[in-house]
Amino acid sequence: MSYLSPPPVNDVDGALRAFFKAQMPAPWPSLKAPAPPVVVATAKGWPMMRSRLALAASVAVLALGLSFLSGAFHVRANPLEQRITVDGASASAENDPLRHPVQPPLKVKAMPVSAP
Amino acid sequence: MKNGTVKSTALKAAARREDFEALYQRHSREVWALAYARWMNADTAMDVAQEAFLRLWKQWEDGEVILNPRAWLLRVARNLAEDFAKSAFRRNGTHPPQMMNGVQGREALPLENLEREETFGQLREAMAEMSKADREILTLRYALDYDTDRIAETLDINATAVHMRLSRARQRLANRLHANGVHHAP
Repeated sequence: MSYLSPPPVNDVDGALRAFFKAQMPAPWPSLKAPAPPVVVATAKGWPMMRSRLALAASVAVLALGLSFLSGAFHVRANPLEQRITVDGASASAENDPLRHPVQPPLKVKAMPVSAP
Repeated sequence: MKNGTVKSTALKAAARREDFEALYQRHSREVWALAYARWMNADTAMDVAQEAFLRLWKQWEDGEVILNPRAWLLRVARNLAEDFAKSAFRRNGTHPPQMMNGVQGREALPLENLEREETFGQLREAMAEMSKADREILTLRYALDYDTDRIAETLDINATAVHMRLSRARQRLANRLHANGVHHAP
C-alpha cells in the first residue's frame, strides 16, 4: 500500500470508533448538584463587640504609652529659672521695665567746692 | 404557615436537583465531546464539562431562567475550552501522561494492548494536526455516534454539509495515518 492509495475509509471508521470508545470515561462519572451553602449561625452582635473591644484595648495601650513617655522625658520647670535679657539684666516682674519704668536719675546739683 | 413555606422551598430545591442530574445524564457526553474535540484530552474535557454544568447550576440558583439548557451548556463549554488555553493549569504544563505519549498511564497494559495503544497515540497525533472543525465533526460522529441530522443540528449546518465535511475529514485523517505508517485499524 503506498502513500497515494490510503487505506479504505472503513478501517478509519473502525479505528475512530475504537479510539473514542477508549477515550470516553467508563463508567461515566456522575455529578451531583452542589449542596446549598451552610450558614453558620453566630451570636448576634458578637463580631462587632469583638472588634470594638480590640479597638478600646488598642486606644488604652496607646494612651498609657504616651503618658509613660511624657512622664519619662518631662523636665520640671525650675522656679529659679530666669530669662536673660539682651543687656544681661534679669527679667522678672519686679524689674520689668514696661511695668516699672526706670526712674530718671536724680538731678544732682553741683555744689561749689569751697576752698579749704 | 411558615412551616408550609419551608416545605415548599425544600420540595422545589429537590425537584431542581433532580432536573439538574437528569440534564447532566442527557447532555454531559455531548458537552464532553465538544471539549475533547478542542483539546484531545479526556480529563480536560471532563473538567470543562463539569465546570459548564456547575455554572448552569449556579445560574439556576441565582434565579436565572435558561430556556434552552443544552444550547447554553454547549456555548459555555466552547468558551471554557477556549479559555482553558489561558489557565494556569495549561501554562504550568501539568498534562497527564497520556497527552504526552499517547499511552494511558493509569494502569499497566498487557502486551497485546501495546500495539493498540500505539495506534491510538498515532490517531490522536493525526487528529491533533487536523482543524478544529474536522475534529469536532469526527468526535460527534464517532464518540457520540450521532447521525447526520443530529450533527447538522448540533453544528447548525445542513445535512449535505455534514456529509461533505465528514467525508473530507475522514479522508484527511486516513491520509495522515497512512503517512505515519498506520495501515490497520486496531
